[in-house]
Amino acid sequence: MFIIAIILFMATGIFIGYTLRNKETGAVSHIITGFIWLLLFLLGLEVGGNEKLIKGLYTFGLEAFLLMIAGVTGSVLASWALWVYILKNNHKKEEKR
Amino acid sequence: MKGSLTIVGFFILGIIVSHYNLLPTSIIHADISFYALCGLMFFVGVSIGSDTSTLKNFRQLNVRFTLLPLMTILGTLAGCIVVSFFLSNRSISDCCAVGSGLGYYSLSSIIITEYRGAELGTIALLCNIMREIVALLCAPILVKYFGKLAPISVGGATTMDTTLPIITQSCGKDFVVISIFHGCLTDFSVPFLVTLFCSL
Repeated sequence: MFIIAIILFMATGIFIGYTLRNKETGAVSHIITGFIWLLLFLLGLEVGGNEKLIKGLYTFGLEAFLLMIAGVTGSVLASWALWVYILKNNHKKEEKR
Repeated sequence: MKGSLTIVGFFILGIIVSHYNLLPTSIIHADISFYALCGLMFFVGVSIGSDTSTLKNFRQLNVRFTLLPLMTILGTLAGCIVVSFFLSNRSISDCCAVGSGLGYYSLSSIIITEYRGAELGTIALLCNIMREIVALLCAPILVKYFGKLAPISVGGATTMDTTLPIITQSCGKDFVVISIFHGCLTDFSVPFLVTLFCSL
């Protein structure tokens, strides 16, 4: 139910945004920033009111750090592979010429 | 950088306010965050739909470079799966949900909080903020050792806004379109990937 609501809201937004594409929509980015501030404030409220979370912040930070390193390493290796592949192909093209 | 600091500031402000009971608890337990999230997604949609000029620029892109968003997503998920074996109290889907935030900490942490609670939501927030910071700080080193696509890949969903200036600086102007294309696609895929892994 939750995901359907979210996707419906986003799809409606895309449609309305497309109909407004030639109009000035500069305010939208400010509204988005406002919503993000509100939501992060609300997440903070939830964390601050939960003793278990406050006590565990150090452990969560460490887990977050490990996941970040993992994600960064994985994406670096994957993009490196693509980079090497593209460079090799460019070389072949130049040799043919 | 200033924008992300403000966002972290609001998060910390929320912690302080509720830790010292500065607000009535009825506000905390009301379902405001769900409605705010719907509002956010609506306006994110509007900004995607109204932006047709970026779409036009993508036509001049080398086809092979369009694989980069896919490499970013697959690489990140592979890394998260490996780490999930070391984190005994987190499942593979938990780790993948956090990782698939791809640096888009605001949205990913909010969605994960709705599905899996504030604990994993906080991990997602911290993890993805750190990713953005690493992308900002390490871009020049990454170019040197892993080629010009690496900083874009590490930047994840932020490569069309916050990390674009540093990427332009370290990879050169030729990579601006790739960076924006990559940011656009990964940005768009974050809500889908995160909800997918949360519902597994």
